[in-house]
Amino acid sequence: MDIYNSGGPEVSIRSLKKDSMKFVLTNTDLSVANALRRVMIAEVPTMAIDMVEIETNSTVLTDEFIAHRLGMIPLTSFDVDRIQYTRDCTCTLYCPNCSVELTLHVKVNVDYDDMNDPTIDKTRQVTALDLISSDESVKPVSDDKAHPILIVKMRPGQELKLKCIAKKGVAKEHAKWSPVYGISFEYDPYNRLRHSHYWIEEDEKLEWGVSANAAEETPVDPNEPFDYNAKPDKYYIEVETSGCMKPEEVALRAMTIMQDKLGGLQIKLDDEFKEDTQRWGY
Amino acid sequence: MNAPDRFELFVLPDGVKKYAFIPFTQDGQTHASGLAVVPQPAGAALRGQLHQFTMSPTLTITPDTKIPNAATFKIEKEDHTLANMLRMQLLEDPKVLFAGYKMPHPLDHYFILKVQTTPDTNPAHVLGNAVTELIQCVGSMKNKFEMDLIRARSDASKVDNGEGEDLSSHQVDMDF
Repeated sequence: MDIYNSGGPEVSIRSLKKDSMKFVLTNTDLSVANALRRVMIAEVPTMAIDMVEIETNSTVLTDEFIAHRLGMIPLTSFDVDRIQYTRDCTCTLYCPNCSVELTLHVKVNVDYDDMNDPTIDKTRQVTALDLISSDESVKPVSDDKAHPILIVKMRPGQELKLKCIAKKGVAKEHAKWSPVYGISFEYDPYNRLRHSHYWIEEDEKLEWGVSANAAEETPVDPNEPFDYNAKPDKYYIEVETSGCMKPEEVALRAMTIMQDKLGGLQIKLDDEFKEDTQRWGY
Repeated sequence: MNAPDRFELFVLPDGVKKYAFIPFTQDGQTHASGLAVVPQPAGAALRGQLHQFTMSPTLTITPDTKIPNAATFKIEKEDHTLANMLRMQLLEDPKVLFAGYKMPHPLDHYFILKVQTTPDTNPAHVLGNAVTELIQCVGSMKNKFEMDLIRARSDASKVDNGEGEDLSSHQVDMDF
């Protein structure tokens, strides 16, 4: 990473699926790899339901219960760059530039013929597929139509009618905006750097074993002396997204956000630096 | 009841200047606080730019009165993500004698970065170099990622097994 490091960071993608991606990052510092992980989790913007106006709710779940569940539904966010943050938008309250409206109206009617028949299943499952979005590019993730996201279960006589406003945000504000379900981050599977101190009863190898990533590194020679100058260099990262955007998009956007942060700092520094001559003299 | 708003982790409040210049004082004052409150012009005209302001870190530089060539940088609305990267990059620089960061309190969303350099340079300059190197590093990582993505996608299409093909089964020469 300093100018003596040949070529800078290297990336090698090991596996690329619809919802998850495995890659290996080498020749960077631990702080950069960790910053990438943190930004992927917390600072990549997505869309999520933020306000719910409930007109009718006669279900068994309370208003706030349902509103919380609605907020946690992942919404497809590949087009999120087009949408502004509501706090930055020129409108009052909200508008199509900074939000997306989704509606839901489910009423389970009483069927007087079947009413008293206990063998007929009258439970209606309200799922994310019932949410109707005003914008085709922002709607609940529904990759697996056989198992949609369940919001609430209803029976005859109950009704749920509400309007949701989805806004752009980052997971720093609330975890519902996180694009990833989990990021697996590992380095030094053979513990050469002794960063891990395992709790053992007798034998470390038998009780703990090695991870799958150990196949990529040469096993430890028992006579090998401890290298006290070694630094973490190779990071095995797996990104699993909620389906709101592709995993490679999450990683690319995260790197762009890191660049923007550093760029903003650089601009400020240049402004301050211009007056430096009279300041640093002693 | 007392919980602060979550957006305070990253949104700069109105009325706070993006950065302030604290002049070097001779009378032994050790630490100026940092944020000068300046009324911001309000109105829709500035609103379009507000996004850039709210997402950029604000920076305050306080030269150290007792130690030569040392300064404290206070960066608002940022956390370990940025601070650790900057600190590690500063430590790579041979002209930096001391570099460290801390977050004085987890409920106050800013960090302090303390830098001391050799007499031939100054902390702002060294930090500028560190930031430039980091931008190059992240940029190069992004380029390598995009290139490897093209390779990975073309490998997937060659096999033509539908979506969800696990590439780890293909032994491509991937040693860097």
